[in-house]
Amino acid sequence: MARRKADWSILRGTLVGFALCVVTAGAMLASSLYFKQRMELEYRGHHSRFRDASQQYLAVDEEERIIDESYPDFVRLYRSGLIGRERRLSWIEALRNAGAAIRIPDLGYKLEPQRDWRPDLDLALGSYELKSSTMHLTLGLLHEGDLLALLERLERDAQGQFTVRSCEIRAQDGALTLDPQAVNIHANCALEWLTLGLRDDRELTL
Amino acid sequence: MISLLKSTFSEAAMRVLLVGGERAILYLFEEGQLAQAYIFTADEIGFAAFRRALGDLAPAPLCVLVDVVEEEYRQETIPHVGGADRRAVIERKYARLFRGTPYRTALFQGRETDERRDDRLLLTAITRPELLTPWLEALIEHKVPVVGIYSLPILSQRLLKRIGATAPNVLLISLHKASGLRQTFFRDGHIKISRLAHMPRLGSVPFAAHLMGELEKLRRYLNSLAFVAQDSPLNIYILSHGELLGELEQHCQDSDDEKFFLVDVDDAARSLGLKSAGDSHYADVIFTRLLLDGPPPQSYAQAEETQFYALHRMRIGLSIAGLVLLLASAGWSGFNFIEGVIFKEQALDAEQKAAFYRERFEMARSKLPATPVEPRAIESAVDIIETLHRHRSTPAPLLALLSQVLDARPAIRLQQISWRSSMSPPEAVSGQQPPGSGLAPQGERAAAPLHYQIAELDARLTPFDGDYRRAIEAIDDFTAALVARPGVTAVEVLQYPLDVRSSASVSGSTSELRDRLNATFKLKLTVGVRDGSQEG
Repeated sequence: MARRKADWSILRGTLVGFALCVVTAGAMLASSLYFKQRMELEYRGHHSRFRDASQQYLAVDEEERIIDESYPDFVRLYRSGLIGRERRLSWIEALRNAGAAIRIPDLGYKLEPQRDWRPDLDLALGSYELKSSTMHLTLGLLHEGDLLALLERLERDAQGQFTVRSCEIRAQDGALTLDPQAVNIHANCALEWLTLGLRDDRELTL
Repeated sequence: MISLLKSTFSEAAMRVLLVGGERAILYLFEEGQLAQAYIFTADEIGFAAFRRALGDLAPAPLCVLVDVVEEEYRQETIPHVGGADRRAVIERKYARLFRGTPYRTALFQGRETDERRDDRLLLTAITRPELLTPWLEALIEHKVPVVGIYSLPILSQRLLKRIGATAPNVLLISLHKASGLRQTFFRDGHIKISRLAHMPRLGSVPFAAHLMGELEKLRRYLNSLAFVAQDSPLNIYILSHGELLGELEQHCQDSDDEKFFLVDVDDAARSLGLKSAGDSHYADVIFTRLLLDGPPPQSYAQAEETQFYALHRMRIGLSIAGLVLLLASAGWSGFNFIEGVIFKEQALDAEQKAAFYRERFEMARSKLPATPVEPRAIESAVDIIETLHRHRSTPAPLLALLSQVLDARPAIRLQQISWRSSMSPPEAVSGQQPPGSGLAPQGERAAAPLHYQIAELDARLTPFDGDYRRAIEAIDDFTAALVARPGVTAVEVLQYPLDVRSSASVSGSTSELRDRLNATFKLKLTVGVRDGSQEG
């Protein structure tokens, strides 16, 4: 009996049927999974909106409390120049007035452009950003007490808040002069004027 | 003689081709019952008719059952080995005993009782394969799924329990239309020898007398081989029917050595689930029916002969797999769809609830005053400004501290102060360490300051008379006074009027004028500030 090759043609119809089953099964599965995922996505979206809305509704009382307690402070800080636009004119006016009042013999200043400021401390800024304008002061003083008085007046009178970054104080060579217009001490100080505003340069107005 | 009927054979039906030396019979079963039987003579006319019959029938699995004289049986023992070694040993036996035929098989029949405990095998073979070739070629030509080729004598072993033949020595005698008179001897349930004798046409000779004559021949052969156990009689089971049974009863007389059991073919058929054996004294249908209960593992068939059965099984497997896949997918898809519908319902519910709460929120919110930012952002802005205010820095605390210490030490005149603010304490600079300098006591530093103010002081002692020892003592006293102040975290002398360290070089003149002598020094002061003011 001569050997013959295996006749796979018998399986042709079955293989076609099996392939159709695989394709049909795959199509059914894929379409049902797609439908389920789409519905699940839709559900999650609506559920998330429902959760946010319910939380917002429940938080109305808390918002009322915050407005009662903090909004007056917010308004005060806005008006005093700490929140919103910086008040450069106020700073310079306050500086000049303080210098005149204390009778500082020599007073020079330079204000740099405002820039973003990242404090060293851990501060959650949220929807805000912190900006700073550096003010360099060059002073000729009768004595070091005038420097402290100047800083005190600035803090009191200027619309804004500053922090002193550095100060270089140097005594004038030679004997002390008691003339009120005499310069016994030279001081160079760097002040950071800080302003809190909304992110992305959005305007904050009351 | 050819008997060919129109096929009404269904695809699910089972078939058995019983091949004898002179003819073959094709049995068709439906639902376990014999439906049709076709007889084909073993000549060209019969082969052609067989081919035509196969052409008319739908393909279905078919078992070939062989009952020919040219089947040999050899009792052999082989070492008790397994796997490839066992196959190799058996192949060697085949090559020695049954050269020239591919149709051979082996039955394991227990082990020897001696020390080696070799395996006992019954090796069997169809010694004239050409008897099967025309039938098998026709089957392959018509792509019939051949399950296997089986030996009728070996298969008859299955009948013993059915007819209660459990004694040590059993001789089974049956009459077959395809072949003749088959006599098979079993010892302890294992086939030992089988003989096929020609059977004259019924009625032409006295049946019982002829059978008893053939029995006597086999009996002598068994005695010569000493197959029969001496302590037990030979139980002779004769399958027959009708008048022949009555005739046999008269001839079969039991003795001490022999006991006769006459079995009606119809009774045996019924014990196998057949409704009838066709009112025939031939036992062919009984054996074919035995095969349908499940083919035995011993088959003479070669791979080529069973290729279409392998494909047939593959076809069934694929069909079942496809169906299962389809059903599983349908089930899973249905489950996914139901889940999707549930999600959709939940989504609609959540959408309605969200709209409800949004409406309520807007109503409640409309009663609150308008604010430029969200209320939480208001609170956040106030907190940020407060934090910045707490961390603001000014040189006032440090200057005030210096002023207090210097008031009691008029000989020290400050020339320059370099002040800066830092969130972290400065690193220590190696300098000359006076007794009073260094870190402030531990208690002072227990609470961490918000930030630090660091000042580098340039100062001088005036008046100075050239006494460096007193000058250094005065500086050390100054630093000690600073360290003692609350809030001071570190004081470090960076430079004394005279560098007295062993590693430094010192120069000067004892004749130098007093008014030109100078006692300048440098130190670094660190003050911790908490909450916008000096610490402490």
